[in-house]
Amino acid sequence: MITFRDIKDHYRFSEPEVETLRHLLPRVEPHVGQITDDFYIF
Amino acid sequence: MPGTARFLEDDVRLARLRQSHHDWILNLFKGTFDESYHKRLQRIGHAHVRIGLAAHYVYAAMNFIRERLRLIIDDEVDSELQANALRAVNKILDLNLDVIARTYHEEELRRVFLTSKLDDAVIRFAHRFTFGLNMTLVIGLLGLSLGAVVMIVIDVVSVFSGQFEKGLIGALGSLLVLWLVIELLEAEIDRLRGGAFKLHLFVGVGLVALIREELISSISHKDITVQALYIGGILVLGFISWLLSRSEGKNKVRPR
Repeated sequence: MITFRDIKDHYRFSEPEVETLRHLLPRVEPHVGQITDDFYIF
Repeated sequence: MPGTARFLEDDVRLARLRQSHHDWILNLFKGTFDESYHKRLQRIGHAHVRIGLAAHYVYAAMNFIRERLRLIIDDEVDSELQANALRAVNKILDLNLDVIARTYHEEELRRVFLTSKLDDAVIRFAHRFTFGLNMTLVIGLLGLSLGAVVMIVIDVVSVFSGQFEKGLIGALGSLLVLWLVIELLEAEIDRLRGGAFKLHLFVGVGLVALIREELISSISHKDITVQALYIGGILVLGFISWLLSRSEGKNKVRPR
């Protein structure tokens, strides 16, 4: 049974990339509502 | 997307789905990617499978989200950080797609496995049922052959009890029936051993029945029209039987 740790390793998903995503949150958050709205008329 | 419209007709459901997608996008950036996050993705996949949404729409939706996030990075992130930001976003989206898509594959495999098990069970049952029917047929033919023997005995008794002509002709007819039952029995045994189905034998059943009727009616002094009908039937069935025998004979593989 493949674990999530295995999957992350296979994608070489590193801690710095996790940090990069955390730093993106304040930039992305204001747009999420619009993305969701657009998604449902896509 | 036209294929998803039927899932979005209910307003309450639509509001719930919007909130779920909103939360899912935010969670991409919250940095908690543990086993509970993994299980949440699996639940999302199972929910899509359960409602019957084709995997195609999941891939298309992921492409849509990816493109929108790329545009945000283009607009909001300093240019020297954009490559890293894009790489990180692509990886987390690919991880999500990997887990969600795998639930689809697992579900398909489970269905194929179940279908295959059901197929096996049906085929096994059909084999046993056919075997039972064949045994019934063989037992029935054995019973018929015994019946034909009894008919011959009765006809022979008639010969010795003074009804010579009727008994003799009847015995001839009964012998024909017995011969036919033996042929049918041998054909059935041959078929059970993998031989071909012999259609001409079934025409032979009708032929022999008519011959027997004709033999009996000839000594019963029945109407000439009835006898003519029997003779006509014998000729027609005889011709069909001959054609079938020729055809089945040609289809046999001749040994070298």
